[in-house]
Amino acid sequence: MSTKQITARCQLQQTMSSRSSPLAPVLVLLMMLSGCVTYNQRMSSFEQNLSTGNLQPALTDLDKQTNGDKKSAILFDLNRSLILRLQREFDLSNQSLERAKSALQPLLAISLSEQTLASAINDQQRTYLPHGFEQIYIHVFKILNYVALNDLPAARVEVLQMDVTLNRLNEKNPIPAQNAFPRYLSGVVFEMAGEWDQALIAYRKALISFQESQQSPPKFLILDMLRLMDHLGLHAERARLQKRYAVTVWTTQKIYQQQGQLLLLIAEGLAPIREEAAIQAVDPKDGELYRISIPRHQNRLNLTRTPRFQVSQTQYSSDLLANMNSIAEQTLTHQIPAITARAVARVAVKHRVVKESTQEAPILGLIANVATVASERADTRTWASLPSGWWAVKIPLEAGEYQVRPLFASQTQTVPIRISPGDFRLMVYHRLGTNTIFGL
Amino acid sequence: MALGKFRFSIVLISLLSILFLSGCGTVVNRIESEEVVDLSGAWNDTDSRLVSEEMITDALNRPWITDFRSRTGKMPVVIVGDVRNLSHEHINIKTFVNDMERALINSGRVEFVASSTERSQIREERADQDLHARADTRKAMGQEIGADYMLKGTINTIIDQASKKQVRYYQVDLTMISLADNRKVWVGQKKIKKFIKRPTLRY
Repeated sequence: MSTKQITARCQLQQTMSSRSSPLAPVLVLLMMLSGCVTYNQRMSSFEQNLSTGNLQPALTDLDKQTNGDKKSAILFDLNRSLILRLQREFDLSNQSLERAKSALQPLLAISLSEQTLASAINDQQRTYLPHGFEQIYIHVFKILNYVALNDLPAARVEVLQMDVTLNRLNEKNPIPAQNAFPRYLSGVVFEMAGEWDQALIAYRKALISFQESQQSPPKFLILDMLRLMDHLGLHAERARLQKRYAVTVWTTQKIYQQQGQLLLLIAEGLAPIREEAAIQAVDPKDGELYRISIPRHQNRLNLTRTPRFQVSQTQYSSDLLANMNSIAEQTLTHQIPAITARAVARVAVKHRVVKESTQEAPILGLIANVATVASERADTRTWASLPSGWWAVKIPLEAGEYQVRPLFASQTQTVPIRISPGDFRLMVYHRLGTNTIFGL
Repeated sequence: MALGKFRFSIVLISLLSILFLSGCGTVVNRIESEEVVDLSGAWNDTDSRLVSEEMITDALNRPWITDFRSRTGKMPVVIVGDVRNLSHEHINIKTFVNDMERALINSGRVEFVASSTERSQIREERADQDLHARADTRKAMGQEIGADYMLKGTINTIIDQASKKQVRYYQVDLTMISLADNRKVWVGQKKIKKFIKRPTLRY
């Protein structure tokens, strides 16, 4: 929508406020509640700052928006948590995530008042309930923050909470692809804590999710599972897995514990957003304008090549763990029937308002028609600062000092690391724009 | 009638007005610290209190204290070790461990020494006294009392859920282990089970 159109709509809203007809308050309310712009339009400055790595201005943008939109408060906390994480404020990031998590629980019940408003005005009248995969990534980022804070017990608590969330979400409309990476990360945390049996269970669930979503599991997952199955005496299961993935060599648990492990995670790009797709039609009999707005999926920046790393003299390719574009698209596909049903219900309600206004005075009917059409906006809210994909490479290393350098951007720094026997080192890289890299 | 024409609009505006004018102010009521208030179903002060009461009663009524006293003629000295939170919740374990410590010390039958995290600060202070305190008030190094027992434990949870219903099962296990020979002289256990039903609808 152009600035001109937005201004015109806002001017119309101001004109409506001065009317004294009994219907005017209804129409004004419709206009006020409709908002002059969609969520994405309001957030464009934030997203621009985020993708170019201007974190402080992005945070300021968020603070400005938060005050004016209480229904999206969770979303602002989610976005804020990621900015704070990139600023290495892991504790503050977790506080934002925890706030979002606490606010989310009551929203799992359906609000009668908000449903009524959504059926009369638009879906933006509902308090934002994060989509299923977004609820999972609240835990994922809390886990990564706790690992960065070296607080493994707290990360473990979050893993267990994530399991509860995953189980709840899988009860209806399961999306296997959204489970794979979180399950794998759970296994990593259990391995860090030396809980081999729990790690294997998490890895098993990750493998099942990869298989169900018809995505190739990363080779390091298969190798870890073979090692743990051997270690735990599950030889028959190990033989089946070995045969299925044609693996002949893997590390024994004894050697594994003498080595160090380096897990490099890449949170790549920015998650897809939702755009408004509107259909408008004019009734040839009376000229009444009808409009239905529903959200549609829109991908953003993606990597064209597999992220690679150089660790001292050796180069490594990463594997894709989660394709957030696909997960977001599947989520919207699940939601579309309900969104469409509400949009159709709104057409009926708005038609009634226009009809009664026209009976009162044709000019009022016209104004009512403009107001009802203007208020028809799609809910395009999403956690837009999430990455579009998660990649990983796991490298076993002998004890010693190494230089880690990401090879997927031109301006990246080499990070020196020291690996001791038994270490499990997790390094996370966030790539927001072509050359906007944060190594955490 | 004009009013009849606007019936639908009036109903709509009334509904919308009610929905938007329903804000309320913050209300604070002071309540007894022992009053049970369950809000979310998560671990709360009541659970912590129930665990500490159970553990205190059990620990004081088992023979490990009297056995030690009859064997050595002294009160057992205990140090709090690692109490691991293996549950689904970020639980503050210190609340019931501190309750227990207080009750056992106040019973006059058990002594506690500072835990490993607490004593580093005390040692720093002692080192500082060596340099800055008057000689007659200075506390010497090497006079600490070694503990006879270490209190260790875990909190575990099992969560089962279906739709809006959830069963939360907490199990707190505490163990008193002899530092001399690794014997477990006391094992305390408290189980708490909750059934939580979340609303399907809200206002």
